[in-house]
Amino acid sequence: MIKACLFLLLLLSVLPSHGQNLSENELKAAFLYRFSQFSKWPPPPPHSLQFCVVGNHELFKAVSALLYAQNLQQTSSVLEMPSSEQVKQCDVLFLSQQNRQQTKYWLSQIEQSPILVVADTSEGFRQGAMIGLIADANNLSFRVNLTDAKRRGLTFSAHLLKLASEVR
Amino acid sequence: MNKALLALLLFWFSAATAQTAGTLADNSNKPENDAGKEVLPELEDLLNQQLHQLPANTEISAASRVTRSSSDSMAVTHVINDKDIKQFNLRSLADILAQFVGITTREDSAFTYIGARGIGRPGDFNSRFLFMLDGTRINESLLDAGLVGHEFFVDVELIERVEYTPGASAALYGNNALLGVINIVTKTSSKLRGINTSVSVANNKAKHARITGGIRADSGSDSWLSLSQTKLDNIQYPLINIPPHLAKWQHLNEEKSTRLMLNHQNGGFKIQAAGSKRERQYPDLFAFDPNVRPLNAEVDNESYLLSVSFDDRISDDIELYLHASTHGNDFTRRLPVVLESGALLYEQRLNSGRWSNLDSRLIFLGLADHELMFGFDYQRDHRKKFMAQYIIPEPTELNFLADESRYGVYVQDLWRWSDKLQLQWALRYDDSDSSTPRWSPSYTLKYNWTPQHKLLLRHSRAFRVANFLEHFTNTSFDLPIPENESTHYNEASLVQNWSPSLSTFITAYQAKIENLISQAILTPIYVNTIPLKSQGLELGFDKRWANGVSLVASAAFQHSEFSGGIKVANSPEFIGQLRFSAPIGSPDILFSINSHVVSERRVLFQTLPSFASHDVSISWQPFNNMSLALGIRNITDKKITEILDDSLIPYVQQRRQAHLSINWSWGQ
Repeated sequence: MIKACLFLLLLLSVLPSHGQNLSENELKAAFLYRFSQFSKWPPPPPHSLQFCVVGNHELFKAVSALLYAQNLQQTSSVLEMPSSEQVKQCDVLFLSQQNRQQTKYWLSQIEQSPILVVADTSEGFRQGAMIGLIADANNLSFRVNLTDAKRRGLTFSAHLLKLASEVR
Repeated sequence: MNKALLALLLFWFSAATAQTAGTLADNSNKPENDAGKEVLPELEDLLNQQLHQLPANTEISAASRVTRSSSDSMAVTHVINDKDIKQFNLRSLADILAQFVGITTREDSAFTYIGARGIGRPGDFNSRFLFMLDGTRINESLLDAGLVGHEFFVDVELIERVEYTPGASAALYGNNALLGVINIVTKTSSKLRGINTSVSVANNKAKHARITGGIRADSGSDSWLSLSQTKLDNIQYPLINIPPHLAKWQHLNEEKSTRLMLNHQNGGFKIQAAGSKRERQYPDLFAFDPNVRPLNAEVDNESYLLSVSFDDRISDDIELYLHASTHGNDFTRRLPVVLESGALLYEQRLNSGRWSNLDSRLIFLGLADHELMFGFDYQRDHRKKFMAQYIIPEPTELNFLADESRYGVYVQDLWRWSDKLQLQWALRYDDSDSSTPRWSPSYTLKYNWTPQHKLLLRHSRAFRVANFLEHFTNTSFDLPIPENESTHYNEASLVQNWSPSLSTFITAYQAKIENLISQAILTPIYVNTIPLKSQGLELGFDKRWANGVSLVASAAFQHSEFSGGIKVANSPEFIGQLRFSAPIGSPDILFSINSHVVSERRVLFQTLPSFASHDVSISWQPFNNMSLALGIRNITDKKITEILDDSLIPYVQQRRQAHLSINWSWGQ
């Protein structure tokens, strides 16, 4: 009987599972937008938000699609950054898959500009990104570096800090 | 038993079906708001979203002693995280370690031993693995033992992930990192906020309860405190063919373990305190008169840890880590002795260790394309004490007492030669009061021919110094202390991400171990063996499907023999593992199967048969603050026997067990 029950459970498990099924980059794009909502820039606050993505074309496409789906093209736009020339135009800079040295380079380019820097590697977070959006095998979670945020004049809502896996 | 299991399965089946029907009705379309826009999930919902792909990068630290992305790692590291622990109903650190490729576990209901890479030496107390808690070395000081059973002071429900980097890693970690490095990373209050409780029961009368309180202050500081207890009554004797007149006293065989842990983090500062007390009682069957209730022998284990650390970037080019900790571990065994006069006395044995660690490391990024790390580790063994009191034939007390200082200095450089080619080298110097100095180098070359495919070539050395038991046993017989064990280790690994949902790895390794320290046959002394060669192949894959189904499988083929072709004890030539999980209609209900296959292995003149063991579990999260899990371990009730020491007594491993656990949180 146990074998029959196990077979039944296996059979059930191959049924399609429902629920929102976002790809890793779609999920990162959604997080990025939510981070911008829970962040406050120093005065004067930006009238429209300029998102910038480094090192991940699929993420750039996912952010573009999200802004379109949310009808946010009037107030927000996204740029893919092959080089650092336009980096100071960014309000939110996502450094994707960058190691310590690469993160250090990008952070040196933005100097002390009030840009919300998000990284998806632990090296990027430790090197000075204000938010680290790090994956484990099953989920994404984020950690916040308040010291670096304050240095650039950015503040975060208590809600964001409450949900972070770590606050430094 | 079968009827009870069937009833539980049917209960879960009906619950699953009801949940499925609800979900199918609720999720037929993507949700939209009044303006016709897709509803963007809230931050809380995003955190709960399951990845149905393999993430491009995860975080690991065991391989390089510093946190790195998995794609940037210079060694293959395997990870089991909190979701796996919950989903596969893993109840101890040993259960978690058994999920890793090539690892086998064996227990005698008092201690759990692990083996890997063809080495599972009888009675080595896991001293050929380095164990760390959040980066802090936690091997105890007398035997350099790794505690992985109920005596481990971290409740498994507080573990965020366990990392395992197989292979020799002495160039970074020094002593004991011979077969692999195991790093246990604990959770933060983001998963333990408010009051979090769990209760579990098993059909063998095992009970477990935990209460944890966690708080995240507005300033961002993070604290949690956890208390848990596990109780096992009527523990089945792990021996074959127990006579009925002895089996009737099995109810006296019981155990209770209590764990307390505190974690506080503020910015780069972290304070951690943990303690555990394990009390075990069992009837003393050697002094058994069938007409009288036997007296209980007692085994107690108490251990604690208090650590303070600072880990932060202090300039654009420098990251600094400073750590200080103090530890203690006492193991006491008391055996009852009734004298002819009728007086009750106890023969007692005590192993007691007190030690402190000071570690520091600095990462320097000032040189283009280089990531340099310098580190210093110091351990002061304040007290290493072994005491034995015997009453028969006449009162005797033996005392061995020592203290020791051990230190290590190391340097590591990761050189990014190009986007495709990286070289990492490391060199460590170790010395201690009781052994000779040692140099341990390591070289790793990584070639990424595409971002998804990488080849790693590694050569390293590792060593193990004779522990206090091996040291004083030989000196008490006026024999020389065994030489340090040493290994020359070579490894080639191929890690490939074929698609966002499929990755594979293959590792071929070869190790030459010299001076393996082993207990001599028939005499209670320790000797260095003749050289030993261990070689093998480990391979595995991880596959996810869009409907939430996942399959992780691994196989280890290993061959170990001493010079002259003598087989190594406890060394199965094949170990296979498989973890399958799938949602049953709803992402909130997961059905999982966990299987292990181990080939036959020899211990001296005995051959232990091969076995396949299967665990099944179902987890259900009906609400955000509540989850239930039902697991049946060794569902086919396979009788598995293992030999753990030179007594050659075969110990029966856990038979079929059903567990039910409930986790509930408030105030999150």
